[in-house]
Amino acid sequence: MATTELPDQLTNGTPADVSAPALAPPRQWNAGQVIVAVVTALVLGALFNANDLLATAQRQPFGRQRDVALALAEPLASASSAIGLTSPRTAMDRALGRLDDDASLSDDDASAQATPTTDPDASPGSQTPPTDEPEPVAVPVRGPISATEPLRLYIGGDSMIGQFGGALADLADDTGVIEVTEVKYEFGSGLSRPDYVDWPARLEGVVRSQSPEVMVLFFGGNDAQPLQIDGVVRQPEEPEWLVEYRSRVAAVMDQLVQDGVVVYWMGMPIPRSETMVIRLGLLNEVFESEAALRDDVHFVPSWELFAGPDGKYSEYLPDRNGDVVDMRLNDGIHLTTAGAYRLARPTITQIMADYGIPAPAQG
Amino acid sequence: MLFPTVEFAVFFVVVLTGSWLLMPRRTAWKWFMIGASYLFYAAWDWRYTALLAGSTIVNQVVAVRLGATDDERTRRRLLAVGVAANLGVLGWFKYYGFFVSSAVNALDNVGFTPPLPLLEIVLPVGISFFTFQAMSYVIDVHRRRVDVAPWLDAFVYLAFFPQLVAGPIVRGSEFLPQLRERRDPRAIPAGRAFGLIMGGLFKKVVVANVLATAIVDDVFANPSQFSGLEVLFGIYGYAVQIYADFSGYTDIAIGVALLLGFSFPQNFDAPYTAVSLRDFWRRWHMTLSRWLRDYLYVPLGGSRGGAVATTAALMATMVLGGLWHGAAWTFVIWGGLHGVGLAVERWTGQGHVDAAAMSPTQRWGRRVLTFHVVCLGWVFFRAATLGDAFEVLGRLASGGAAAAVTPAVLLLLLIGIGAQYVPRSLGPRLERLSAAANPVMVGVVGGIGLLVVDTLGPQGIAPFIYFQF
Repeated sequence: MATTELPDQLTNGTPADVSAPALAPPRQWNAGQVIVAVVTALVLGALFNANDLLATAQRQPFGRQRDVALALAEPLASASSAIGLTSPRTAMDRALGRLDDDASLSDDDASAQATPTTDPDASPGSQTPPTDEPEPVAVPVRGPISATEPLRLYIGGDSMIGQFGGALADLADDTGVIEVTEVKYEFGSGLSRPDYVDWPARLEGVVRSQSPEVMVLFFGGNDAQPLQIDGVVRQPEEPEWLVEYRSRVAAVMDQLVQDGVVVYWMGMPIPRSETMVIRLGLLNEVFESEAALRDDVHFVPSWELFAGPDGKYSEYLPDRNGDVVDMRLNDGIHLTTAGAYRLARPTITQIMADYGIPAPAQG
Repeated sequence: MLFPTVEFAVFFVVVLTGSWLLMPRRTAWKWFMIGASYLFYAAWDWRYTALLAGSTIVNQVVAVRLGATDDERTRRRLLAVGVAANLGVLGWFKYYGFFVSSAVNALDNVGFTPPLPLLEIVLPVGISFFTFQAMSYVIDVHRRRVDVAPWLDAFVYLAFFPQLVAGPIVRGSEFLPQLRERRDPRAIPAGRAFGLIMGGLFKKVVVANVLATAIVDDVFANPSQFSGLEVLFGIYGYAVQIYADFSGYTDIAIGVALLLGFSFPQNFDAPYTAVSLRDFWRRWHMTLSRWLRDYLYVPLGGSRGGAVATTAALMATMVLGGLWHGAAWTFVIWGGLHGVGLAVERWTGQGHVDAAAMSPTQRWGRRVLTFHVVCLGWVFFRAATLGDAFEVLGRLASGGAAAAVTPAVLLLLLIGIGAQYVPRSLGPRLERLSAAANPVMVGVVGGIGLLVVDTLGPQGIAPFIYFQF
């Protein structure tokens, strides 16, 4: 092709070959030297980060993959700790203030970090809350909800909050009398793995620092995973699993009710995977039945909202204008923006009805 | 299988060793690399390896038949079949839902409910990249710019794992000749490769991931909760995040390929130093830019027609480039914005400016202006809907505090943009220093680099942004 045919707006010429620097070429290596350098870097990197690798292995769902990861990570962490190679990471984590709020382990507690288990003597729900009994939170007596004294709303949970939280906060903002104190979500978190994100402790902190009156919580996207109970790995369909998971849900609800917070607990929407249909259905049953036991906890169903006329998962559903739009992300679980608003609207409507908040004027 | 994971590290050590051991046995090496690449792809969803294999077979059949005939009419038909097959695959997976739902809604508005099935289609990772590579191969064979590859070579080319899921988009004319010759195990540009890999890891894990979690994701998810200044820095943050994320991935890909003995084309060249949009597109996702230029813009007429025809070709190219990222109006606006900007530069003669000939004030003024136009485009690129994009932009005028603009955010913005102004001579100097060192010493430095990256990055590994395209 003649160069005159080429456009002048877009990039001209073939991009440079990155292996051909302008200066005299540096010394080149042979394959053996490359493999030595790569293996050295990876082994040393693994030793330096051994505690983080161990924590990552521990956070994996219970099963063979986790067992293999632990079988590799535990001796690595022990060896690294023994020769002091975890010290730089510990020092850097400490300097960054991370040792208190994530799963990074110090040299001393690397080997002591136990796989999360359930205390067989504990009463239901006693595992996840902090061991120290928190001071009761004083619930302020409030006047009528108004723009100057708005209803304080916290929105939190796993990645299901990602789109939904923004949509709900947007609709809450439109009311003019609801103040969203925070929209917070953590990927891969939930109530099954407090060793990754300890939601009960985090919510307790939120109550103290933000004083929300209402919380909208969305869990379940990552919770249908095996739990280790009394040293035995239990699958979500097993009765022991359900008893344990129910106790965790109940504990969070009790904790927040005790703190004077009104909770709106979101139900999981119907997923694409048939396996997940069974498992998330079980979670929803737990959420709904536990909410029914408490006056200040309201279950917000979403399952049927995302089902088609046949009652099965439907990716495309009509929006508020009647247009058929894609409601679900590629994974068949999370919501698109349109899906988020489809769920956020009945949620905010329920909150407004419960608090006597009039609908905002259309403008 | 993501690059910054233990799984990939183990995979790569095995493949690197096996690749050099098998290199003298060419056929065995090709089978080994095909197996490794399909294993890499299967880590996302093994079912889509059939799609990758099917795409390779269809394109190779077309290429072989193109190579077997000199009849131009037949060649044109074969080319049409090849292009249609590739566009059909892309259309099915990327655009079916968008077009069918749009059709259903449009027909519903006139009182007709068509029986069009709204299927639930999962987008295979990297489909846009390997499909564009396949198209370039077929078109280049038709144009007689590249010879028909042997079957095994075609399978290696379209599946080669370093560039499989997010580029760079490597052409057959660049890659296939490298397969014809045995790679020299005594001539590996290791200094360059290690620099690219460590730099790419830092860009992705530290710069991109921290900015995403510290400010960008929150601002774009819920702009009403942030002040104008926070939203502004959220937009700047996304500009740096997407650069660090995407260029970080391609840097690692290029470095990994170099260690395996293969050269890839450069994909980014300090894009935020651009003094015009034309300059920006010479520096941003360069392999896509030249793909669009050679396979879309030029066939549409390029700059050979009059001003109107050239502008039309430019707009069509940029809007279709936007749609390549996904079927959404946000991408149309993003592409259209760049198309309009490029057209305006062309009309005003501002696209061909030479940065070196400008005064410092003029040069910096144009850099700042170009960066902000690009940032405006990123708002539409990042937002889930047009409404969200306008909400983000609308918040810019609001007051309030700047609590989310933390020192860490400012530092990462400074690093992400400032690093693009580092003199070019520094890279080769560091490469020479690295290449001259003892391999064990380089490994030790690499290990320390992994410590720093893993410590500074947030917990968990976020997927690369461009995997979704």
